[in-house]
Amino acid sequence: MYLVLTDSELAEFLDDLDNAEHSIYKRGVRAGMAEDHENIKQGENTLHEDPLNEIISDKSYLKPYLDSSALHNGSIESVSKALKELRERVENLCKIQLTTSFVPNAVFIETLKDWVRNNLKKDTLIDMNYDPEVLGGAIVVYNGVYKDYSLSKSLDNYFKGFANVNQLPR
Amino acid sequence: MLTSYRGKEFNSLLQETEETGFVEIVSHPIVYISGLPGAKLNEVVLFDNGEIGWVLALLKDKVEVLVLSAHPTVLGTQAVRTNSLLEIPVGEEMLGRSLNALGRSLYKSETVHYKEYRAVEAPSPGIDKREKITQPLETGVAVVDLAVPLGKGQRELVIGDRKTGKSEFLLQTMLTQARKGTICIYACIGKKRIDIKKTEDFISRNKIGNNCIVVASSSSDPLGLIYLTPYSAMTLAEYFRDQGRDVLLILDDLSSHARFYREVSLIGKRFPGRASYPGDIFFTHSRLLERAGNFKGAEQPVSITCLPVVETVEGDISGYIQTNIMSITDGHIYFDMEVFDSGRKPAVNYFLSVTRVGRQTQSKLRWGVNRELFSFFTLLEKTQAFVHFGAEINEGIKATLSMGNRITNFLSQSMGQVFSLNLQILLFSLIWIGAVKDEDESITKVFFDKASNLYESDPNFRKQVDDLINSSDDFNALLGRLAHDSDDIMTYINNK
Repeated sequence: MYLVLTDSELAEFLDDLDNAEHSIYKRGVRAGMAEDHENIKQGENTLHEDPLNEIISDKSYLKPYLDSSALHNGSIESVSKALKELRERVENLCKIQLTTSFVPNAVFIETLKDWVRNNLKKDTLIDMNYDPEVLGGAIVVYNGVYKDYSLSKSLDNYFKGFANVNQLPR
Repeated sequence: MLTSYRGKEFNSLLQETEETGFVEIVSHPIVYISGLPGAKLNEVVLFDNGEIGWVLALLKDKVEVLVLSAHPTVLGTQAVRTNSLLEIPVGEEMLGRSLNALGRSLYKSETVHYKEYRAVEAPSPGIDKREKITQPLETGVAVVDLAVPLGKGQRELVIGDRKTGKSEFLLQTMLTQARKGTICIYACIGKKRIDIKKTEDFISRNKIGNNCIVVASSSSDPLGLIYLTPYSAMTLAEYFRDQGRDVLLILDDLSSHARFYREVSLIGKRFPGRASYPGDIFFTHSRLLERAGNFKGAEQPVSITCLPVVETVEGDISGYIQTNIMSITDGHIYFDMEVFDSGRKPAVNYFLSVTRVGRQTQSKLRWGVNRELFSFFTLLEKTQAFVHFGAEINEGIKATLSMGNRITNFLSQSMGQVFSLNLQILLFSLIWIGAVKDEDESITKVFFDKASNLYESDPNFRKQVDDLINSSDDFNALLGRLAHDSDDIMTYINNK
């Protein structure tokens, strides 16, 4: 699955990645938790506490982005390798900068992400900026190319053709 | 701070080029920008904080830019292409002003609208646009004009240790040429502000500002501006050449320029070569100096005479930059510390100085003077070495030493004093035939000063001297005429 994040999500994603990398070697026991040791002594199954299994379970936040073949046998080494590859993908995210005249809500952002996944087909970071002077539309910067599809530019171009107010169409 | 370049705002450039980039790595003064897919080499880049930069290299996914600013650029700064090469304003309005490498005045903030702009980097003219050098260039300094003659369009290196009188000689040359109507451009490269001020004061004191321009960068200026200074000065010189004016361009000094360029290259991670200089250090200077020369003009040849300066350490003229520039130029004038310490100023070592082109500009008379002078210097040196051992001195040796003292007194010129070429030949000839008998420097100095002032102020005297020199076919003919007229000339000068 293509990794598409906004700039505000990036920091949290990297935190989750750090936590996952640090915890995969803690097998079945949470550090400092006496009840875990008690459970093991009593032979209770603590598999669901295993951080490694948490990462590779279907409920995991990271699993959709991890390489499924690397998770196949679920070993520590393969999961560690998958996490490293995910980190490399995060470091090489292709960036889109979007400047709008409104602060987008969650639905808008998810729609945008789906569009990026289906059309760009690349791991992408979406940098959302808010600038009321845009008025409407958006300014898009991608791969160094700058495209101004804002309403303010359209209005500027429209009014440029008139020397004074009297020439405006009634 | 204006966020515009050549009248175009940052946002309008964004709309025009439809490209942008963001600073990702900063190694001041070099930054690496991601984006700008259409960037070209040597293109100007404008940042959103108003600073400008110059594209140095195009990497796989970044653009390397040399920022022309003293302040480090902040990470994430947005940049836009300007779609233009680095250009500076040129025009007659530049005369009498002190400018920085971008063509802006050093002291006044002004909004002057220039009509013409020229690229700082320009290819040097080909051989089809050049003419043979035939016109002499007068420096006003007798030891150079008589012993190491220069021609208009020549590139002559001025080399020597610090504080040996190189800058004084250059200012004397500028004074002589400015009075003759030549456009003089003095480029101070990475100099102390006090040195820049001294140059400006010399120009204003001698009232030659209407023919002079100072292009200066101090040692505290941004590295990019220091690097660009000689190229901007050359661009100005080319403008005046194209207007049909002869130009004298002084580059003070290229050894500092090489050091600053080395710093830029090492920051830009260029592989260091000999003495840590980058591999293209020779090309850096050769492409600059090749833009000088003697060129075909509309009616007559026009020239850019270039006097680059290189500073040596402990008299070492075999250093890397020194030998590089010696091989590019058409000769060198060597300012020797030993000569300076012996009290002779200008401290030119005429035996170690070379002029590859200057002799073809000499008339038969000047050539004769030059030949006699050099023969005598050789004899004098041998004689002085002979006497050094305390041997008995006969009349012939005494006469040689006496003549040597008189000629040495004549060749010693104080700062700001210049002699016209015809006057130099006359005074030397008077010494040669024995009309000037005194060896006391204080007495001969007064005599030479009188002659110089008379030549400047008395049109009759000047006409007589010029007619005498111009009508003499060679040195022997001149000496023959002076044998009859020397008493009258000496009396005329002494009585004034």
